[in-house]
Amino acid sequence: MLKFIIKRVLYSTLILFLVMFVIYTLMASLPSGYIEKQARMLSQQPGTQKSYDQWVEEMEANLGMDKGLVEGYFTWLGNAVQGDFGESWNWTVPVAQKFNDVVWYSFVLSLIAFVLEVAIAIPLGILAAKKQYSFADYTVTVVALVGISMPTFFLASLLKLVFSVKLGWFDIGGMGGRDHNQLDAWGQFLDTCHHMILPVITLTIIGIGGLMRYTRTNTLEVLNADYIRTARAKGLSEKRVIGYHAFRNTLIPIVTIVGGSLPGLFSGALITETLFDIRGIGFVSYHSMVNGDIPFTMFYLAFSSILILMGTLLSDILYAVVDPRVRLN
Amino acid sequence: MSKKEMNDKLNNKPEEAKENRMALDDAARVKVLSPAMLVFKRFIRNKLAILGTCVLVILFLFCFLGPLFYPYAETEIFYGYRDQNGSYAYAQIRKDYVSYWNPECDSDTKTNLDLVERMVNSAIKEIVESGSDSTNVQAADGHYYTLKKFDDEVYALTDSSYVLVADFAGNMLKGIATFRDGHTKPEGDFDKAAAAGISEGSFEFGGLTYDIVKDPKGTKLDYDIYCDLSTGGVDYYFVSTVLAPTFYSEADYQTYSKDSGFKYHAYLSNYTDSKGFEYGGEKFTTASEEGVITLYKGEEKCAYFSAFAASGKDSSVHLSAEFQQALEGVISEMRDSSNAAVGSTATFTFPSPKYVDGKVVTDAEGNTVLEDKVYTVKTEQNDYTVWCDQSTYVILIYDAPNADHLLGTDANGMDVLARIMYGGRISLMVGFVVVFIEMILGVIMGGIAGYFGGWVDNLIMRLVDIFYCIPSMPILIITGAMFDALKMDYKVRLIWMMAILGLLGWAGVARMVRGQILSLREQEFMVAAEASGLSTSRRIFRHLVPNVMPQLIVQATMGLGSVIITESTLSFLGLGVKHPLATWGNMMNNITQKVEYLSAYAYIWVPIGCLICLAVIAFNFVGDGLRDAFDPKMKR
Repeated sequence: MLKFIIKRVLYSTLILFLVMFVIYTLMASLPSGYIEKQARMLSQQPGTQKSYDQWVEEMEANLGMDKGLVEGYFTWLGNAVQGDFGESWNWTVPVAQKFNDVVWYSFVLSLIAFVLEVAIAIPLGILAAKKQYSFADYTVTVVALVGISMPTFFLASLLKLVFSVKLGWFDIGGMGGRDHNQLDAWGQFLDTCHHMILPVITLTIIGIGGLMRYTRTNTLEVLNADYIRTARAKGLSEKRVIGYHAFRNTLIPIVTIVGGSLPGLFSGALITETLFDIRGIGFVSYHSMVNGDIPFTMFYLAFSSILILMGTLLSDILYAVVDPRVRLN
Repeated sequence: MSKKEMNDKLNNKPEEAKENRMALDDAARVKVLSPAMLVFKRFIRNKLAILGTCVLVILFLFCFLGPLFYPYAETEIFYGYRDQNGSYAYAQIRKDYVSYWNPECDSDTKTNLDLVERMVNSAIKEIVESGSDSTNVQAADGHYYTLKKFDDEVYALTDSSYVLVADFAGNMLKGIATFRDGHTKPEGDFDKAAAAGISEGSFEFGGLTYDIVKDPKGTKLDYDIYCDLSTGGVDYYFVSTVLAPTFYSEADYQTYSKDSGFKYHAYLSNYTDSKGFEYGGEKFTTASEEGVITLYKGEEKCAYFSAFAASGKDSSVHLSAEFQQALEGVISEMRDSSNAAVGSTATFTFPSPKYVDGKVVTDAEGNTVLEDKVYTVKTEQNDYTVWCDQSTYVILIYDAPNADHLLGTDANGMDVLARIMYGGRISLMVGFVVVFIEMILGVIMGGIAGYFGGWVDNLIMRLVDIFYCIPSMPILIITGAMFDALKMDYKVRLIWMMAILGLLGWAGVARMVRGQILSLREQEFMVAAEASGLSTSRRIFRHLVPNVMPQLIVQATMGLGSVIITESTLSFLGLGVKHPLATWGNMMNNITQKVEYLSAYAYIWVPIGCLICLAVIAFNFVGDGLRDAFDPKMKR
């Protein structure tokens, strides 16, 4: 088992190394002049502390884009491994610091949505499988499909229209109301929670469909298995058949997929956060990318690919942990 | 028909039919269907899949055939008349006096009096301050003229006739004349000439005759010097007034409003004995009614005079006398009340011609149809502006749904329904092109990896792992922002976007194809293919790939939905397909960014969003249905 994990981790590191190289190549091969143009624009902004030359110099020192591709990559990687991703152009603070400031908002937002998704999707998925072709099944299937098919921006706009504009229950965006600063600590907390409700609903509805569908399919497969027939033949109560024999087996693929999406909680919700002005990592990265903030963009790309890899790795390992049949092979 | 009857019929069949009855395992009983037919039959048994197919067919007809029958083009901009609140007229209470020359004045006189005319406002101010009814002003040639007050609003310049110019009061013994205000001592030894003239009662100096009269109220030695300063000529040289005429008929307005000579007579007429004058062969009379001077042309009311002046915003607007009177009433009310600060407003209604599509509406007899229109008067720094809704020729921006534009028009005045159709074309086309690129790349890479195995397989699968890890949305956003910065042409960037989307999506297809080919490779038919000496490419593309086709089709159908979502999200963020081209995503872009648009123009973006959902759901339904039809084992 340990050997399996070590092998997987080493392999993932290799892939990560290559992915980073691809990303670096991509950024380095941006049409010539784009980075210089951004640097020039930055140096002309009011209140800037650095001249154009300083910007370019600092960027080259950190990203190594003045050197060759391979050498530059190692310069950047060397800095990145030490946690030095340079200074963000858009936010004018070190990238690592900005990341640290905002990542927890994203994490909390995603975590709440994730818990809700799991809590709603798994029971409903199992219910739908248990009563296949019933009204409940069709409802779950259709809701799941609508959730999958709904573009985030459309759902967010709809929620804004209904709950913010028409009903006036929530603000249209942002993380605090107009009088946020006048509130005491507890009031500020409640205010922020209030502003998180619509983003959480958006994320939950978007995410719930896939998991619900997956649970349903897997439960159906398990319910068709021989050991379920055996359990029924032995005269076990339906409750025990479903709740004990079937449920534990259903959980195998679900645990792997749920575990695999855990690292993704840190990656932030790019679209949702941007649309609702939640200043998490997704919002910050979106604005960095749109404004040509190369250091932060490099960091975010690297960070996202690490999270994706970690997700795959985690689900592989969890699969082996949960399912003894895999371990035997 | 009941069961019993059916059985009876069967039993009562003729003998020969009974003999020809087929055995249970008779080959003729088995209806042979081609594999494609089987798949099709299983597919059409799935209600959701049929629903999805129908939706897709309708969508495709709508997007690809709809524009052929729809009259509007993708980027056609619509213009039309719309009531827009704009400035309509200006009004002011005139404070500056304007002078109108007597037409009989010759040009020399005019030149001589030019300075007087220009200084008339300060001269009038002097009169008002002193409370007198005239003042003397000196012209360029040194002569004095009298500016005479008729009324607060009307003054006229006339010859100053016999006026007191100087006296000897106080300084008689010294023989020095003291000149009154407004008169200056001529050059030369005036005093001596005056002293010499006392006994005769008059003397001449500098071409003028001065009379010396003993002041009846003064002391014994107090003498006043009078002089006839008049130069002879016309009665009045010019009239200065703050009044302006408001004509009742447009014809009179056209004839007289620019005629300075007419105005001279008109303003003066009320102060003459005859209260009338003749001008251009017409007889005019004036009468003062309730403080307003009205001018009659013959018996008809021609105009009235007032310090209140209103004019249209440009030459196309002619204000009727009635409108001006109403406006004057409102403004004088505003001035009387406390509502006089700059920026304060008042409204009134006035029956005005009704406009539809920029044209005046007339009834059957050709009379103009009037409707009550609301006018708003706004106090400005020095004057008043009048605002009202005017029928203006504009680009029809955000037109509400109507018979011409079933879903209204968008921010650029383009027809929403037409753009939805063309947008659907682009969205669906992007989906197909991207999925096609993904499939081609995926089949080639997966096929090679699966068939050859070994180091080729290893290399390609590492590449697949790498592409799996590249976060696609951030990459797409960065490239979109970069295209923006490079100001790339919208067609070029559309091609780039499709290429990038395809490049980022092939890894999944390759992995699936490789897995399938790995298992197929070992099967008997491949051994047979190898044994019959088929070439490698033929073995791959004629024998292996067709067996992967079902999974490929399913994956492509599902992929179409997700590509449509990705593309619309990018376009929604303004980083995908750009303006002149319509897509479902970028049509929602502007509208949902602003809160007020979000609710006001929900009729534009909600249908578009629903269309995106519908298309994606339909592709998913069809994909599900196809998967079940291809592989019945998967379904319970």
